[in-house]
Amino acid sequence: MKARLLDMGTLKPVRSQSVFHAVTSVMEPDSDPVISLIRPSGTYVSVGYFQETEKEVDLEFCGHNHIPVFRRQVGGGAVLLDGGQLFFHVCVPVARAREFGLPDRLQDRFAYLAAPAIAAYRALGVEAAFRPINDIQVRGKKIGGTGVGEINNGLVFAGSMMLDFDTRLMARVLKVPNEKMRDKITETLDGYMTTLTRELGAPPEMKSVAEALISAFESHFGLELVPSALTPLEMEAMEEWDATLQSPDWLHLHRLKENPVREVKISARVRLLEAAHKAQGGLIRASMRVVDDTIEDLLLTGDFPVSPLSGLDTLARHFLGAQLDPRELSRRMDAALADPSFELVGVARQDFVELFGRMAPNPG
Amino acid sequence: MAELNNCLFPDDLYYSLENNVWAQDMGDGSFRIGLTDVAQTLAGSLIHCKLQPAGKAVKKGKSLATVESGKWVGPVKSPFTGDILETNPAAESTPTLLNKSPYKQGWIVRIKPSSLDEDKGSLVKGAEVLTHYKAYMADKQVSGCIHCEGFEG
Repeated sequence: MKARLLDMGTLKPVRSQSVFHAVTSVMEPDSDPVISLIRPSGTYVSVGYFQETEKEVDLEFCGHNHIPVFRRQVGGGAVLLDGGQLFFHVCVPVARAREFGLPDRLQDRFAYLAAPAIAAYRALGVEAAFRPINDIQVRGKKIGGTGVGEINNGLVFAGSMMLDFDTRLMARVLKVPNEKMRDKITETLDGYMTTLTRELGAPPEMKSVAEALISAFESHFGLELVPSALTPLEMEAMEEWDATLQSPDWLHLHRLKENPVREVKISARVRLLEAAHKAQGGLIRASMRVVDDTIEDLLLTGDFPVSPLSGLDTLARHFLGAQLDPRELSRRMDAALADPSFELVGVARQDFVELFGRMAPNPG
Repeated sequence: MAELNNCLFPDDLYYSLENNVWAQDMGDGSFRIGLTDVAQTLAGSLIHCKLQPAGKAVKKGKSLATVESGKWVGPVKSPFTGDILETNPAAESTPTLLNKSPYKQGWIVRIKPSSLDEDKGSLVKGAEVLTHYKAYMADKQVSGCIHCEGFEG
């Protein structure tokens, strides 16, 4: 199958998003697939199509620091994007998905689409592997995410080759309820993400990353890639998308129902949860890191009387290693509250049931 | 209700294979639209659903709603050209209803077709449904339907 290759070099942030939206949105059912490679000239935040921007991103910080924020018509969560990443976009007419080799079941499609990026990482000397739903990982650490959007007659698979990543800035641009959670996000990103630079000990040449990717796209998808440029129609659409992506209406497209739990998903395996509950004696707040549905880290804080002061840390330790399952949490809670080494005043078992119940809701 | 490899197809509905949606004649010139059991199986558990607003005119094959499943954002396409009369707020607030109850609680919009006779030609109903879906599922390599969120007929 013939496909157009748009090797766009370095583009300003909005263009690094508008190009693939434009190419996908003007596809006809019989268009040739398009693969684009783009590196952004600056740092920005991209929020997932269904996210509520002001709840996910610290817009004030981004504004003060000249970090633009765009919504993409692709799934997933908020990500920090910058020149340390090489973006790739695979744009295919929906009508030619079968011909392109794309499986029909969504869960199978990501594995198929991510295969070339994984091959490219391996060609560069990094043992990357696929992790459902859509992660590319190296020994359990995420090295870039992927997402898909269907726009008019086209679908786009978007991903990035991660040469380097600023975990501190990623944690800073997110809106979080308190700074402790921000520290936990940085710590978790450092522990559960990796980059080509970290894996190889030095940053690879951008050119060699692009070449590895192009070669993998050709061999995995059986494509004859023809170097190409944007068509006049695509350029016109790109200018329209430039305006859309920067418009307040598009950025604030969704208002979602209130969620009492703040969740930051780091990878398919790892997420951070934060919730608070008002008990008679004061506010209890829980921040937990969940890895493979198991509580790996739990921080409990509160403004109610605890004796001794380390009592909340002792209480929290009872939950480490627990499955995030209401029944197991209930069992652990009984054991924790029977611990004679601390005393809580104005906080009852039911308060913890309600707090943890929000973080591990009953299925169904 | 007809069944094919655990995929359910209520008898009183029209089906659009092209868009993998059903249409129910409400008897007043309007039709309710929703995802078929096969469509919800292919999509997997839905986490978001954004509906086009009531009053909006849509063309056949264009988006009635945008849904997200496992990082995949895509449209639910209309089998009719017409006007959206009503939307189902429960589909937006609880998107898994589209998986759990695709033919009842998980309906998406009610639409008044403007070219009903023309658009109805591409829909199938009754005995034809299983024949068409058998071929469709073979083509799409769908061995059977998965009710990942349970199923309420």
